[in-house]
Amino acid sequence: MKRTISLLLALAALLGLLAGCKMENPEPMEGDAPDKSDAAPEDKTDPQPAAGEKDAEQYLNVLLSAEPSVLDVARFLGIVDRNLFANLKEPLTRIKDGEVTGAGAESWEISDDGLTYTFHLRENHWSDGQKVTAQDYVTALQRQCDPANAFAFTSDYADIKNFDAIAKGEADASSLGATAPDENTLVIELERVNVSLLSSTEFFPDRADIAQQHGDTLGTEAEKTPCCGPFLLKAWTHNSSLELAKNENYWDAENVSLEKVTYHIIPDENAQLASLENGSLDYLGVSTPEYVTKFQGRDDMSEMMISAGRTIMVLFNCEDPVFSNQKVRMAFSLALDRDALAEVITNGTATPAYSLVPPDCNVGDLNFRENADEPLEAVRAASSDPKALLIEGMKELGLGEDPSKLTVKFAWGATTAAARTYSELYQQIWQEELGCNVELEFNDNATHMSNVNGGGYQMASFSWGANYEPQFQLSRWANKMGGQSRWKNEEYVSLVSQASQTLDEKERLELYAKAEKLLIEDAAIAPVYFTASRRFYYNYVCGLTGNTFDTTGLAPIYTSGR
Amino acid sequence: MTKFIVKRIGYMLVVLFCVVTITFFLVHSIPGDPLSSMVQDLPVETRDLYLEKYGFDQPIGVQYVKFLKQLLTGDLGQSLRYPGRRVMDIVKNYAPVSGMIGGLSLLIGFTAGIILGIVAALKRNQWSDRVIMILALLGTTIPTFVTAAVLQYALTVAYPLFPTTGFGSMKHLVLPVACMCVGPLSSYARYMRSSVLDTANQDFILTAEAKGVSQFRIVVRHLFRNSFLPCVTMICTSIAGIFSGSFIVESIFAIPGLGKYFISAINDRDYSVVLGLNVIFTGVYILSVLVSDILLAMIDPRIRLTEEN
Repeated sequence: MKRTISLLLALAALLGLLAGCKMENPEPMEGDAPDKSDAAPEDKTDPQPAAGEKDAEQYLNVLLSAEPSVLDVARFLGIVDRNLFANLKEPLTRIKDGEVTGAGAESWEISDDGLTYTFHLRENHWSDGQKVTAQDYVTALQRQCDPANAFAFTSDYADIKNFDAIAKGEADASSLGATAPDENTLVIELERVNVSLLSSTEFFPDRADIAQQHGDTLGTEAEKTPCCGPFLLKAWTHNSSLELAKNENYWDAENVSLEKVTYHIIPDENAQLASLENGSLDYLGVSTPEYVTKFQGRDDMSEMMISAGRTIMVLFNCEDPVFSNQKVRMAFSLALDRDALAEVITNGTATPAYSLVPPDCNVGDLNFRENADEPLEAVRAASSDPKALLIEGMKELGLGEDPSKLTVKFAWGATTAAARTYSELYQQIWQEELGCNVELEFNDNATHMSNVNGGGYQMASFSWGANYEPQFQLSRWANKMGGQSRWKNEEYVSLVSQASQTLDEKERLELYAKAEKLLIEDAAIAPVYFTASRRFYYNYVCGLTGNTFDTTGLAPIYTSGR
Repeated sequence: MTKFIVKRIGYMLVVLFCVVTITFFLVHSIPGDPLSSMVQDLPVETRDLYLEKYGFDQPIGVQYVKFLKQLLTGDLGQSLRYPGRRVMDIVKNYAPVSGMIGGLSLLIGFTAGIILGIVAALKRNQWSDRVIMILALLGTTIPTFVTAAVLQYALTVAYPLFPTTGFGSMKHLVLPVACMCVGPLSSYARYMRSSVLDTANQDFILTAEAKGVSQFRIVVRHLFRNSFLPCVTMICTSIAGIFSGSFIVESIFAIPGLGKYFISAINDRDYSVVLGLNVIFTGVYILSVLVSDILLAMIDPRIRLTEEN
């Protein structure tokens, strides 16, 4: 009896441990099309070998990390929805193998001043057989800037003429810089040049008649979700599963192999792992060390390391009395042992970060990281003693010379056991290196985010996903507020905005690099590591694409030898 | 009797009103809002526009009055986290799922628990009693998430007899129901056993034995009936609980039930869903207490008389 009980207890403890291993930062695991702020993981370093003949029956079971909010392009709220749009709708352009390619649009011209984009559409059809017209793309933009829809991502489209003004109720809807001179031609006018418009913004079509017919319930059920992408939404069991079927009306249907895709919404991590283990899922990102070892030992599975294009960082509140001092901030940044943090927290999958922009980002055809040194490396080489730097900063603030009398707070946006362990590691490193006291604060994500956005913190654990161009991440600190760090730097703002209008790639890259250097050297943030995930997939799954920012969705995937 | 019932319904409405009011102000006092948990750097204007759309920009007092008015018309508002879904529809769609799984587990747990409890009591201190009681002890002490994870691993990975997750067929129901009936089964078994043993010591059993009534008749007509009553009062409140579902079981088996919806709504600060579901759960629970009160009063006049005096 005793033995049984102790066995069960051990099992319980183990399960508790597994449950606690969930990362605090949402790791998109759809293995699906990435998006702007939460780029999903794709492999770059280890492209999949081409396989043999395709199976007669083509189906796929994949994980969806959460229930979609609403499958309406003008009201959706998150990354899950975006990932589904990549499969269900046809954007004007997609990023394929790291390059912007035509999707809904066959070709386009950009005017010499960079302000007018003219798109020529392809012959594509909605699931009910109607032709996808230029007006459909205009409709989507019109609905997105309609204040009545309270669209959460209006800032993505702010460069379009009058988009922002209409969204704020300051201009008439008819003044929007998007028009359809004929069925197949779409013209988008910008307010200011944005060289990364097509690599950072997705333009989806939308049906005005269907939107009107369903009103508020548009996109809440399968039959209320119009589709024109590679797949159609067949069934949607809320909080459980979504079933996609191949769209025979799709313009590129001949290159879509999968006949059926089932997304399983499984919140529990052990259940996810069990589903991969018994083949209920065809691939999955795995971080639990025991399972990594287990799956590595299986002959029918392979693994790929996938960069997530995401930077984990510590935010400093520059309006806080203590962290208003650059030396104090830099001391806390330099003190971090990034190798140890990446090793312990991510089981060695992440890369230590000494800059903001992850290695996957490009400026046009140039890789950013290959052409710009990580700014913190140079700072590290120059100053070896963070504690001395902290004391200097404290003196400037009139806080004395004794770091042991300094107490600061580090906020964390999760309340799990893992969050506690990880934050204690930060705490230990800081206390040992700097001799000050670090208190920890744990809140659930909603409270944490509200504190961070409202400036109610001293140091906070945070992460930002990257986009194809460094523009996306860098511009987070270029707004009125100075980003969540509340770091106001005019030179930085002008560098970032100048970069977004500079056509020459080399010049643009230099501007971005200068901006990044400012941000890191002034220690508005302490970058910690770039995340990656380890994806295990059954050997019969082929065509998993290898680029972090690709938005091709599931269309290129097929199975062979299932 | 009528006076008793009217009084009870009055109490019920007061309790419901208090719970609704307290929840309303509690929910609104949690920091964070539905959008900031979803969108990392939301422009202030967008956030304001969003809250305005759902009427969350107004003073809390105005919102409260509006909420009560809506409530009286049976409208529980719209989800903020899932635009376009009405709380009433969420209840309509998901309560049956939770109800089905919860109902089945309660039915199985109750029936099996009662039978095992009687067997244990009749075979007191024999091996079958010991086995049943040890299992019941384990059943009440091992948390559901352990049972669920172990069952899931054993029967979907090691021996793949059932689907791992999902909802839709009978096969999908087996594991979740099995996990959820362990708790009630164990507690009913233990409860029934002690109830039977209590009754067995009563004078009327001795009288029956003295009158020469057969052992079978004593068990069925006297022992069983009298020890069964306390369990009936227990089941009323259990029935109320089945619609609220189980967050753990629903998460592990990816079942689209209300339990998961409710907990995620709290994490997402989906005010209207939290409030709406809370109103429904409270209502059902109070109603079940009322029913069990009335039933008891009908069965046992002493309760009714004490109340009336």
